[in-house]
Formats: sequence, C-alpha cells, structure tokens
Amino acid sequence: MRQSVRQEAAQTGRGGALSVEAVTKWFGTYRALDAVSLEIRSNEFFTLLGPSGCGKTTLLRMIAGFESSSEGRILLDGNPISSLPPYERPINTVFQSYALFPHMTVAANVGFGLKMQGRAEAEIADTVREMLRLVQLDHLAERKVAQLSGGQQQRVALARALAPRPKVLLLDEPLSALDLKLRQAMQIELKRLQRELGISFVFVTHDQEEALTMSDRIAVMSEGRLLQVGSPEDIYERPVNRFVADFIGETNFIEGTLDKTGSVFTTRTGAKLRVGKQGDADAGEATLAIRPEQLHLVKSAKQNTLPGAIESVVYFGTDSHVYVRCDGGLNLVVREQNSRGGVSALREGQPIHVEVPADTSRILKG
Amino acid sequence: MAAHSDIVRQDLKTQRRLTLPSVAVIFLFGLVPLLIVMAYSFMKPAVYGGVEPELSLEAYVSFLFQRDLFDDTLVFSADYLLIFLRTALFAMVATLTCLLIGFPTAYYMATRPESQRNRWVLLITIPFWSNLLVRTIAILFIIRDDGPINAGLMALGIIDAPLPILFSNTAIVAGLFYSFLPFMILPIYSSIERFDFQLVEAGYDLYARRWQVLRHIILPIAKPGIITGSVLVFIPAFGAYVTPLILGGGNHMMIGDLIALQFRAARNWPLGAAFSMILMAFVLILLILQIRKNPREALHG
Repeated sequence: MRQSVRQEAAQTGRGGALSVEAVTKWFGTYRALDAVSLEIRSNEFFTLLGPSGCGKTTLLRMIAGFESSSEGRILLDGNPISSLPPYERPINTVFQSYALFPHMTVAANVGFGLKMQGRAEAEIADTVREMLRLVQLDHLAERKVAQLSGGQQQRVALARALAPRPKVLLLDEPLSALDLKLRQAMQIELKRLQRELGISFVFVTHDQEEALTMSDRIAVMSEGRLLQVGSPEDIYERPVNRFVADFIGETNFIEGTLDKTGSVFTTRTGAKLRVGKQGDADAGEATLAIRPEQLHLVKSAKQNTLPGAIESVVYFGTDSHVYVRCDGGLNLVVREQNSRGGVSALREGQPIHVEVPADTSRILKG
Repeated sequence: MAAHSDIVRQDLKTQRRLTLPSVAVIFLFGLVPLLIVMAYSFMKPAVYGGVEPELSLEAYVSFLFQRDLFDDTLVFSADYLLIFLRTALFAMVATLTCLLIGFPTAYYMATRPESQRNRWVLLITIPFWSNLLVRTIAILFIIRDDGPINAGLMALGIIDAPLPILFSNTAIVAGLFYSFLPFMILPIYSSIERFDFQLVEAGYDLYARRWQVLRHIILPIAKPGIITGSVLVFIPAFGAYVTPLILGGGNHMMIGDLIALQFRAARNWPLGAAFSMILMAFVLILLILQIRKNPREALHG
C-alpha cells in the first residue's frame, strides 16, 4: 500500500511550487505583512520561522485561502490562486488545534476531504486505510476522535490533510502541543512523510531548533517582514542581521567600530580584534556576532583576546556554559566541551581571557 | 474498610432524608393530580360536572365512536380524531417554522463577539417577562383587519381589502411560533456557542462548500440543541390552549380547547380527562421514539 502512495506521487508529478509576490496584509491600520516575496520550491520542506505576531500564520492562512491579501498575489505552479476559495485550492492544512470533527470517527475524519471531492466509496475506504497505516493508526479507525491521545489526534489531523493528496501541505505549529519526546519523534516522522509522498510542506513554527532540524530552507520573519531566506546552515552560520543571529540559537554581540580595511574591529573599550573578510559590512559603527561554541577560554592574553573574569559556570551534560564578565560591562557566554577537561577547575571571580577567532566572527551592520 | 462503608451508608441515608421534602412536593402536586385525572377518565360524567364513581370506558370509546341517538349502536366518528391530527399538524408546522427562523438566529448570536452574546440572550428572553395571554392579545392587535400589518399593506397599495389573517389557521400557527420561538433558539444557541469555528475552516480546507459545511459539520454538532428545541416547542404547542382560543376565534379548535370545553361548557369531565390522557400518551410515544433513535443526543442541553 505504501508503495502505491509513492507511485501515485510519482505519477501526479511533484509537489506544488508556490510564489508569494509582494504580499501585504492590513488588519485595519495594523500591517500584519509588509510586501513579503518568496519562492517555495516543488517538494521542499519550507519553514516560516519567527516569534508570535511576526505574520507567519497570516501568510500561511493566505496560502490556504482563509485570508485575502491586501496587495500582491500568490501563485501555485505559475497559476494565480489568490481569488480561489479554500475548497478550490489543492492545498490542505494541519491546524495547530488539529480541528478534528468531534462527531465523526477517525476514519470519517480522514475520508472527509475525499468524500467532499466526490470520490467513490471504495476508493475512499482504500485511501483511508492506506493513510491510517501511513501514520500507524489503522487499529483505531472506528474510534471517535475524543477517545484519542494528543499525539494520536495529531496523526489523524496529518492523515486527514494528506488523504486528498494535496500539492502543498500547510502545517501550523502542529507539534507545539506535544511533549518533548513525542515532538522529536514526530519531527522525524514528518520529514519521512514529506520525502515519501513528494508533497511540498510549508511548516510554521516559532521553535528555531525545530526549524533547523527539519527544513530544507527557512524564512525568518519579524514584524510582518521577511528578514532572511536560506538553508538552516545559511541562517545559523551567516545571519544577515542582529535579529536573525539572536533568534536562531545563542549569540554573543560585541559593539564597536569597523575600520576602513574591514579587517580590524575596535570594541567600545578600545580592544582591537582581527576579523575575517566581511563581504557587505561598511566601515563605522558595527556589531560583532559570535556563537558561544566558537569562543575559547585562554589563561593568558594573546592576539584577539578580551580580558575578563568568570562570573558563573553552568553544567549542561556534554558541555558547560561559562559566563564571563569582560571589561566595559560586556557579558559573554562561552560554551566549552566538558570532555576536554579544565572546565571543572574554573572558579568564580577567577581572571580569564576570551579568544575571539577571526575566522568565525561575523560583522553585522549597526 | 467496614467503618468507611458505614460512613458512606450513613451519608446516603442523610441524603435521602434531605431530598424527602422535594420528593413529597413532586408527588403531591405532580403525580397525585395526574392519578386523579387518570381515574376520572375511567368514570361516568355526573349531570352538573364532576364524576359518578362508577367504572366506565365510555370516555375512551367516544373518542373514536358516536352512539346513535335511536338504537344506541356505535358509529365511527372522526370528529375528535381530526382535531387531534390538526393539532399535531399545527404543532409540527410551528416547530418547523421555529427551527427555520431559530437556527439562523442562534447561529448569528453564537458568532457575535463574546461580550455581546449575553445581550442577545437577554433580548430573546425579554418576551417572557410578560404573560402569554398579554402577548397573544398583542398579536391579535397586530394581525387584525385594522392592525398595522393590514394598514401598512393597504397604505402601500399592495392590497385593496384587509387580509383576513385573524381567526385563521395561519393566525394560530403564527401565534404558536411567536410564543415558543425562544424555546428553540436558546438550546440551539447553547449547543453552538462553544462550537470551534476552526472546524468550519477545516471543512472549507477539505473541499467542502458552504452548504456541505452546514450539512456535515455545523448541523450534526448542533443536533442535540435542535432536538431539545424541537421537543420544547412541540410539546407546549401541542397542548396550547390560549393561542387557538384567542387567535382562532373558537372556530379552529385544538386539543387544548377541546379539553377545556369538556370540563366547562359540556360538563363531561371523564371525556376531558380521557383526552388529556390520550394527549399525554401521544407525546410520550413521540419522545420514546426520539430517544430510541438518538439514544445519546436526545434531551440534552
């Protein structure tokens, strides 16, 4: 059965490609989306990432057809869909609250889309069985949804949205209600389903870790604007601005100025740090961003170090977070592997030097 | 363990003693009169009202048959049965009208912002602050020949002569509809007030059009409210007395009037009592059928 799903996906071609063209959305005088343009490729696991209120859910609801755009348009495989009602778009949604029909059995929920499409009874029954097997719930087909656990309901919602074989599947923070273990299992499961079925997934989340582990590409949004689109690696290693760097993972920021050559950064306290070649940063006011795991603690001052004192050490299992107070009120976090040793010897108040390697630091504008 | 169950038993005893007054009231004012009516229905009428204490099935027989004046043979007569059926028809039409108007009203109320909903519920219940008789007479003033409806239609030139609405079947059904509409709206409202409207979006998302969303998602979830509302409208409409008396002008009898007639003008108490029992049996059968059909949903809300 699973084989036939794959064949079907191959026959119907690939998942749909979406183009969002300069979409703006006003709610009264509040601009929820500000001229957002992005391309979601066929068969891609694409994530919209941002804090709550950044407009990611609004964009998702526009793709689904629940909201209309104030300006701009959305195309699916080159055809404008902005004026189509949700029931005429080959796009299905997994809702955050699951929105399962409480008066129907699991099987009736999964078969609902197909029934509305007017498919034959036998075909519906086959597909429902197949979908329930895909999410490993075939033994619960005749249950009412209220009798299921949260994780099971989540799978039913997924099977229901996949059953009509949409070109694009939209997922609105579908894992946020699950506990950690289940969430991690579902992350792997979702990724597997997406590969197996050949459907483009658009996944909305505010959880940066979830975005990094699952996505082919990520769009980072804030206050209705698109800040950066790229692979998880792009976003993590080469954030375009302070917001992205801060939102994705943990980052140390050091304020200062960049000289004209673009290779020497001077901190507020006058310490000079050599930095790697920066493509787009201009001379003048700048911020140096560096990840905690890229900083190193050294006993004595040398090139590219900042002097400070240990404030506290927090043990995290494989590594420890060392909080260092540097001169001029600058606080840095350094992540040191515990297996390397030496961390346990650190004492609060002990003077120390933090090395800022030139090749891994990144200069951001402003 | 033993001590514990003793306490539980003691508790139950106390509880039973505490419920005794209310049970006594229900027995005295609910069950006893019903038993009296039942007993009267099996007796013979006394000449000036009341009953002769003598067992007789005459009242039930005369529901369907008439005694020939000359040779005392029984002849089938549909007069009373027709009144029964007409009453059932009126009650049904009133219930359906209430449903047709009440469902969209309840839906509208349930989709208002939460802060406004109580205001709507209040508006719906305002008519109950005045007596049914007063409200029925108010309707009489509205629909009579020189009332605002006819006056308005004539002023607009739509009709030349007033429509004879008053003292017609239409007037009775309209009166029943108006009297019992809130009983339909409120249970439906309470069943869809907590409705998760994301389910409607999920329906649209899964290729359902408007009427399909209504039919497959909203109506099934509102069903307990619809059933409760229908029962609450149908039963009082079936036994209505004031409405047909005033708006029907006595020409269009319903069971309620027929029963009243037996107890007062006709002075045939056993027949009136028998009609009451038949009415009750009829409603009871309908309810049982309803519960059989929807064992879980019936009479909720």
